[in-house]
Amino acid sequence: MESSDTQLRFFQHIKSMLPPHISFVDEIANLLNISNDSAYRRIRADKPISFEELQKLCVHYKISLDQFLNLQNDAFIFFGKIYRDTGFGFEDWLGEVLKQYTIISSFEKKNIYFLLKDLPFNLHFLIPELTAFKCFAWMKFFSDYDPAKETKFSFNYPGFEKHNAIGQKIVDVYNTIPTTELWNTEAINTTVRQIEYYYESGNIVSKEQAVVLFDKLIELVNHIEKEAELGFKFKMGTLPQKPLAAYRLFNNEMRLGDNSLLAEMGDIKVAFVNHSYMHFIGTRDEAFTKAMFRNMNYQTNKGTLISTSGERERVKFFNQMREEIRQRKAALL
Amino acid sequence: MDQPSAQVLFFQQIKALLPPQLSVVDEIARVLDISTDSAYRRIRGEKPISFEDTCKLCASYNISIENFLQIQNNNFVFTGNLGYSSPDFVEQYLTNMAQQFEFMRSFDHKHIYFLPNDIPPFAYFQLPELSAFTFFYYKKSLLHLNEMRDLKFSAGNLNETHVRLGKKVQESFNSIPSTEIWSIDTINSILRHISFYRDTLVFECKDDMHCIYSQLEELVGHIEKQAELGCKFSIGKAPDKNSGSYRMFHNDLITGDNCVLAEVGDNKITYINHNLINFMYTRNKNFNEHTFDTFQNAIHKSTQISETGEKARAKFFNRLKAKIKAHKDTNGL
Repeated sequence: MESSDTQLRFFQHIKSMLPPHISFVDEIANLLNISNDSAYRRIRADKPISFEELQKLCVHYKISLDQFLNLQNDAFIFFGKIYRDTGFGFEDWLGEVLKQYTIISSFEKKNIYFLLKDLPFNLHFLIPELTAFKCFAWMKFFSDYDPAKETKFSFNYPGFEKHNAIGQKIVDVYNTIPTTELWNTEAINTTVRQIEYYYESGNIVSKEQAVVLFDKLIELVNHIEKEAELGFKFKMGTLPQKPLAAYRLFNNEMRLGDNSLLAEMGDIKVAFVNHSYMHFIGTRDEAFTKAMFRNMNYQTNKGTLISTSGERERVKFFNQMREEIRQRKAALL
Repeated sequence: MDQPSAQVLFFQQIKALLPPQLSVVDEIARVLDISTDSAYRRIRGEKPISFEDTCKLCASYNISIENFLQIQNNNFVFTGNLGYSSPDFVEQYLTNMAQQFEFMRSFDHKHIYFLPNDIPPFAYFQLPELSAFTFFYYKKSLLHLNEMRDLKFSAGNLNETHVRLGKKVQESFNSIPSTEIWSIDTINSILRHISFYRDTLVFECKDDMHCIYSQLEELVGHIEKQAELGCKFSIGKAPDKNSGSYRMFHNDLITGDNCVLAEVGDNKITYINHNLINFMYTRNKNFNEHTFDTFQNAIHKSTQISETGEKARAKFFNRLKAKIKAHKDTNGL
């Protein structure tokens, strides 16, 4: 029999999780349905534990074995939800976004860095018409979407009220977190192309609706410009009220981001990487978050700050987006 | 361990991850530093493997022990680089890429699905100056290497080793059947980089910029030819028996994220782009099936422009060419 340091550490780890009044050996013996002697042999690593026993122990004590084994230096453990594991659908996704932002917001010291290729998705929740359209578009990329129920777009589709209500909560929480965003004028492209796509695909979005959406997109751009000018975030149509979370916006002219974000929560950093359109996976891996933090800092150093300062650049930046939207709208008419 | 079945299955999983020409016994003996006889006994489940050995094997083959034991925890193990050391970045980058493609090529069944955000870098490697420009951009504007600080780009400044390695990577990629989903914005990145370097006087002279535009036009023309014929081959050559099939789709509804899904034998691997230049991959079965579903969903919403769809293909490539021309005009060429 081989002595195993890892096995010893594993059982020590379990022991550290138990209240002191519980007999560790009894606990292991009961759980694995073995005698106390056999439990002792496993705890002392005189006898290797089987895969089946490992499974029982990990499930019972909620131990992440991958994290415990720590794998190798270039491996990272990400957490996240996908449909195949958990039936994770669109409304679950909305709930998860709210949950993650709420966790970040609960810290006194907090900040989120966004390196984006699209507008931050939560900004669309500022305007009901854009909320409706983006939810309509996003839903189709979740596995719980039933294409058989494909309908034409409506600003008040069944389920809109619910989605909008969660969206409002997301905005409320997002606005409490200071953010540093790096994107460029191409960030509007996806939304613009989506409007065109659904208009050109047999009027799923009607011409009148497309016009409304382009106008609302300009309203959103105007609002972001106002936030950038003032350097803090607030809801549309409301007067900025304290406490206000800082808003730093950088024109990342040369590079299009990848929709990744890095959240600072107290002394903890969590990196979120975008995949499969709207899904995110996160990691607290120190090496990974350090690398992302370093990259975010590089990009902010190379980008142009257009919030609070840089008026000339800011006006040019937002005018460029407005002009692009107007041109695309005109092309539809 | 008590029951050999899980252990036997564990080794079967490792076997499935290895290229067919590799002997699983030799591999296990090498990783665990034991004789082939001892390896055989463990593979057949006659001798239990210790926690240490499990850990070593998981690390060597990037296996999530939690996934193997089917412990539901929403964790995914990813493996990859967090950065590149400066002196030999390009060689390191190309060698990594060549190794990945050679690994894929060793399987009878292989296929790459790609949702590019930029023109796939392997395509550039057949045009030395364009390839050099790409590496110049990586080093100067993504990795911010000190040695690049005041350096200007000159098309004549080619590194023969990089040219040779790049062509090898591109030829290797060309022999693997692939499916790519492009949008009209896929070309934006390189156009943005050229304009940025023009504005910041990074080109040594105007001819250098002209050379890059010309090669970009040549490349787009070549990709159009590949799409027409439905197979991949090098510029100036005809398709041959090694040519991998090429399926190309046009989709303006979604913005690419440089995600790659590789089918190798009966397994799938997802590669996710992060921190702009790095990739990490996972062999997590559920995650990979989720990625596969995402690609199928995207294909469902896309227009096939390879082999079939001549009109849509011509329209798509004409728009790409028009974008290049518009940029050339703006930059006075």
